[in-house]
Amino acid sequence: MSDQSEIPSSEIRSDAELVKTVLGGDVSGFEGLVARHQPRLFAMARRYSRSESDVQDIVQDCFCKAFQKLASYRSDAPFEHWLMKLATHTCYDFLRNKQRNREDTFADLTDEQANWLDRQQPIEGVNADEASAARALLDKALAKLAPEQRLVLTLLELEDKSVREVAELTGWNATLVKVRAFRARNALKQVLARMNVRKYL
Amino acid sequence: MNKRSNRYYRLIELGRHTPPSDDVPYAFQHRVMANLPLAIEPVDPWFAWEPALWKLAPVGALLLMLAVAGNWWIPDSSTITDEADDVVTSTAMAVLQE
Repeated sequence: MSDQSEIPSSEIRSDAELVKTVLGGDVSGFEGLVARHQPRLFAMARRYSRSESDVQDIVQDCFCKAFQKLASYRSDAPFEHWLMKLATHTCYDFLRNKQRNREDTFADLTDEQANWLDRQQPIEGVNADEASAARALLDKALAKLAPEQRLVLTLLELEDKSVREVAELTGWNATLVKVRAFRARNALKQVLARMNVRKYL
Repeated sequence: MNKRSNRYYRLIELGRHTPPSDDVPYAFQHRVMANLPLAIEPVDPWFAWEPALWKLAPVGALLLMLAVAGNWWIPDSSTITDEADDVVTSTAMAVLQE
């Protein structure tokens, strides 16, 4: 048997071919799309939640929506772009639901965390523990923002996307993206400043 | 740069340098496949037309307003014709009587 035959068929078929297969009635073709794109979606979902069960739910919800709306996908754009747009909306919905259902507000960042952040100088030398602490701190600070502020900061600042890309992903116009980014930056700076106030009171 | 901004940029930089993992739980795609909705939504033809229809709505409204305003302000052409006929007839009668 040749090496080629050992590779699963989904690995050597393009996204467009797999979509065509699924729309033709062979649902198993969708598993190839899931296997190919799930790492990217997991990385994206983990930007919005630290709870692994929430992350899994977000990714699953995203694939379910993708399956349902697959007929609306037009093959003139890459499937990945279409899927990431859908994933962005799913993450945004998750943030809004989370905010709606949140009963208690998170406490401000502690003095220890503020001190830790002030001590972090050489970013390149961050070890695994510090990376985990950094993500926890970032998540705690971002959790205080409104969903649209968190989304726009994550896309612009952490994923380093351009305003035009964010506008395409979210469906907002470029001006709205800039306005929301401006407000989000100020809001996050205020969150960080509050710990300063507590520290010296 | 003040401390407040400093912390902001440091936090953002830390976030950039510590991207979340892209690890996938074992056999996650099987879970997704087992929970897929039963049917694919058919494409709604109105969905494709909807944005264009919304863009055309103001133009349609404007045309409607113009039509209403036109009917209101411009006198009925049949009335003008009748009046012109009356003028011609009365003039002709006057000429004939003379």
